Amino acid sequence: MRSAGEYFRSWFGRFEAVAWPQLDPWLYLPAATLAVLGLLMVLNTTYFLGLEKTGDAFHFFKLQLCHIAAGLAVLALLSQLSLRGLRRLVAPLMVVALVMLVALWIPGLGVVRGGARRWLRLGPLLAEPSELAKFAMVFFLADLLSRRQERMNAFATGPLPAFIAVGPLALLILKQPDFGNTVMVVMLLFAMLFAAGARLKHLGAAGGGALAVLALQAVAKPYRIRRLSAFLDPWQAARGAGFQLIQSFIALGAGGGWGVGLGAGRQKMFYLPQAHTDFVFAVVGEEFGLLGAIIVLALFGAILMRGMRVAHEEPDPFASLLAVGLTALLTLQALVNMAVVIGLVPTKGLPLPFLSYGGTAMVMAMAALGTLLALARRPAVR
Amino acid sequence: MNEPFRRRRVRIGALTIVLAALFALIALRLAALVVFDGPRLTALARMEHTGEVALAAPRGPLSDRNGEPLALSAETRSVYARPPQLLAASTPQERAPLAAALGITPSALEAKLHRRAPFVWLRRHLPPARAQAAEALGLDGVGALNEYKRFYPEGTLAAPVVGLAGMDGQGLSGLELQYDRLIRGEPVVLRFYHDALGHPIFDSPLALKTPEAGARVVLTLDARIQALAENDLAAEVRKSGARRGAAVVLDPFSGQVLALANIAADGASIGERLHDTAVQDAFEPGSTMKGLLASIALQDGAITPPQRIYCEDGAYTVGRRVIHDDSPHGWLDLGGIIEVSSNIGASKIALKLGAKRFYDGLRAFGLGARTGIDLPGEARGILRKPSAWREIDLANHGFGQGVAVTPIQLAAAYAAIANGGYLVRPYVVKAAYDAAGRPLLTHTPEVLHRVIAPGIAHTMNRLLQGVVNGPDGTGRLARVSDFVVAGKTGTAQMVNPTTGAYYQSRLVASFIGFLPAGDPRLVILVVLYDVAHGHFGGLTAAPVFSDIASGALSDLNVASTAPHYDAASLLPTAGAARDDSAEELADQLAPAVLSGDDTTAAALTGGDGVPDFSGLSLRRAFALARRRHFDLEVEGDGYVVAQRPAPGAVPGAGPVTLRLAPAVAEAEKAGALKTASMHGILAAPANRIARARHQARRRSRR
Repeated sequence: MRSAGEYFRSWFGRFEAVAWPQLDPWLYLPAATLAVLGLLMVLNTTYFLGLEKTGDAFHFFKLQLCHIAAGLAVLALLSQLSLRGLRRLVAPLMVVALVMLVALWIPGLGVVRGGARRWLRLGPLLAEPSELAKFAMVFFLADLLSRRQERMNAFATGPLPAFIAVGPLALLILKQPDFGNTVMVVMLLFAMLFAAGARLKHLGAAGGGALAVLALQAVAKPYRIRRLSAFLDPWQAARGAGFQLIQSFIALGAGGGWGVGLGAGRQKMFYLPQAHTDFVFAVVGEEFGLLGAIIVLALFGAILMRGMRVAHEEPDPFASLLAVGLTALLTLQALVNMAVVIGLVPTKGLPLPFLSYGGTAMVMAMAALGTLLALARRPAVR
Repeated sequence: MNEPFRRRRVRIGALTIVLAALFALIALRLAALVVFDGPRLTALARMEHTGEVALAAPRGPLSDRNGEPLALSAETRSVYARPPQLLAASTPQERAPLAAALGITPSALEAKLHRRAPFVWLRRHLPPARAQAAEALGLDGVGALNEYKRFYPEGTLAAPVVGLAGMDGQGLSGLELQYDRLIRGEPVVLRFYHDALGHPIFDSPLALKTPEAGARVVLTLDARIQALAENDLAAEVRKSGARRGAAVVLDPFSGQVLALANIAADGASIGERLHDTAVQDAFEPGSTMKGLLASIALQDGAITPPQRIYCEDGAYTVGRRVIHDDSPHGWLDLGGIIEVSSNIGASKIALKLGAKRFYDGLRAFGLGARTGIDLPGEARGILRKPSAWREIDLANHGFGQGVAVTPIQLAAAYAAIANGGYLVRPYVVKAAYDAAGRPLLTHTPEVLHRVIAPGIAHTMNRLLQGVVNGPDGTGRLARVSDFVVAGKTGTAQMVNPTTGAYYQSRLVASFIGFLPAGDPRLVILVVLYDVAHGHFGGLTAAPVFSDIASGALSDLNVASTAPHYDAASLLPTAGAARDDSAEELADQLAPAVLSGDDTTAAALTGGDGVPDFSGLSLRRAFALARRRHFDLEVEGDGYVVAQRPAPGAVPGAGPVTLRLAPAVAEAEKAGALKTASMHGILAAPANRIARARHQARRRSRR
């Protein structure tokens, strides 16, 4: 009988038992700063919400602490893995992600909230399969594209298999419906194809097609049109669909250069919907001002630069593409979230990695960071 | 390095640059938002986040002179809704019980909720129990606040004077408006931050003040007299078909208004009912002007009481106009002119007096100027400059045409005749006290100036008694049993407000008078507007005067100075046919009267001879003279020190001459005190004892 540890080693390779000083501080310090800031934000944006909904002002704060703890465990685990171990994760991740996405439609498992079937009941916990799906898809694409490096010039042998593989996944997410994560999946697909060396004309054509599909999807659902028009002229719909955006502007404007101070923001008092999740960046802007918001931007910028440096230096195609994908996963989502908050793109419903309240999102962001830390340890990168 | 690796590195570099550029774009957009839109957004935030709650201060109560409440504030609860919250949290079916609890229809409730306002009142000023029923439903977005509602416990009593306060506790009319700043109290406005659901967040150390209640205002009005005046006036308005009526009851010495009644005919609008005609509207006084004219003429020396004037047998031409009397008269003295109300006589006196002197006299009586009464919207009346008067105008002014006065003006002018010659400022608020009872405001009688000499006033008093008591008096219906009345009727044609010409058959009928004539306590004016021809002042207004006067004097416990029995009956002469009660009363009263009441006592001692005036004040001397039908000539000021003929002498044809000096002030004071106690204490029990005895005797007879 082999012990469980031996099975694990044979599958994932040896644990390298790295101590945290050996991890890349340029990756984990920005992320840790963001997570701590996020914890503060959760505390002060959910204080009244918690009181209102559960009677415990610290309800959401405690849960977020649990999310971070769980995320750190996953991060610790993943950061120990070798490249072989990471590659072994590709298939199980993809299988689990697809199973969960399908399981959403099993009555009693899928939880419908606000008209969207996005949450899966796992015992006492609720998980968001889309978040796992994005993570799994990055692994899957890194694996797929790294094998097809030499065949990227032809559409049929290069990008097409990726489209075919990701297509069902994207459709499952769109079906929930989760437009924001569908867009994220498609953007990640294009980013990784671009990094993997797909030809630009193929990407341009496919991108045009994808945009057309997205446009059709947008037109198909009236609420998306409403969101879009509210985005184009939020003041006209200040009491309706544009309300959220206006409140976001007010928060940022009221914060000014230096902010009103931690905890002193007023927009979180039910003026700004989703102050603790999708619009937490607006609260950062209100309480810490333009300065605080720029610092948050800079922290994501650091993760971008460091993650991309790993991808840039990494000779192994799988490792490199995985680093590109995971870095893009964290930073693209941050970009889209912040662009929504400042009214550059229509409302999507995507959380800000590390900062927003949310279990699956936090665990998956930590997982992405853990994987990046594992990749950053590789000799070629150091 | 292989080709794919190289290309990947380039691509990764490009991707990094694109993403970094997007971060930079977001930073720039953010900076632009904060820098360019910041101030506007900050203002918007402040507007959105801050709220105010006004903690209402109760309006102070208004009461009459005896503390009878006329206006009170009661705490009520007002139910409001925050429609966005309520609509989100409940269905129309769930809201139906709310409508029922509030006593409105569900559709009315829904209409209020769909006004797209963040806050609406659902029902204000509910009794706390009713509001509690609505609050107990526990609907999200429904709340209630304490508010004060104004109640008028006496209903419409003196409503045009007391006025009205609005829903939000603001004075709208009458005293509620005039003294709004005192009555309103000091509400406290709390500014606070609130969340989007409207929950206030009291996170700043607020200096919590409690709202300060408004001042308690005590009026000079007497609710009983006011009610009496309104009831009597309303009955006459209905009976005579008048459009409106006004009545003023004034204390001639202090200027305190005891009643100010304004009655509109049935079917009048609320606005007309609340209109304070007595202060705000001027009317042509008509013959009541003759009292003022005679006073001015006497004061001026243009005429003396015995002087006779030829009244032209009813038609007198001035310029191209002919002045008529109701019935033709020949030679009349001043008393006769007033008694029969001769227009021709009045015209001649006015012409003799001249425009300038007449005008100055009228101004001295307060015509053409506001009295300064503490009520809003007082009218000035109309009194043109004498330079604009033609001869006919002067003649017309003599009997009250071409001039307009407000009822309060006319009452104040006659108060000057009643009180011995002083123009006093009428007022309706006696005092105001803050919530702790400290006086904020005290009104004391204000004498403006002397209009006529005391002797003239006395003469006028006597002449005006002729109107009521004289054989041809026009005001005989104004008589009040037990009291002597002095007064004047007035009947004027109404001016058509559009053409400026007189209506042929629409009249303003009035009566003004004061009583008891010997010691005037009340000046009462009754005006009936827009009555049909035939409803002369002496026929419609005079009876109302009589009703108000007798009721008011009884309310004020004024003892009679003119008993309904004649003086002889007080003497113990047996065998005369008198009823038991009179006899009984005489028995009871005689000793007290003999010891205290100067007028009656003097009358008794004097018999047919000249009474003893010594030690009396001028007013009391005149009163005594009037009772005994003597004319007086007065020298000096103060108290009577000498008289000719001597007391008890057989009276001659001429007047009794009195010399007065201020020396015996102390003695008179003691006398006055004694007299006061007589009126207040002795007289009333004496009556009661008399009645009791009388009843006992009737029982024993049975």
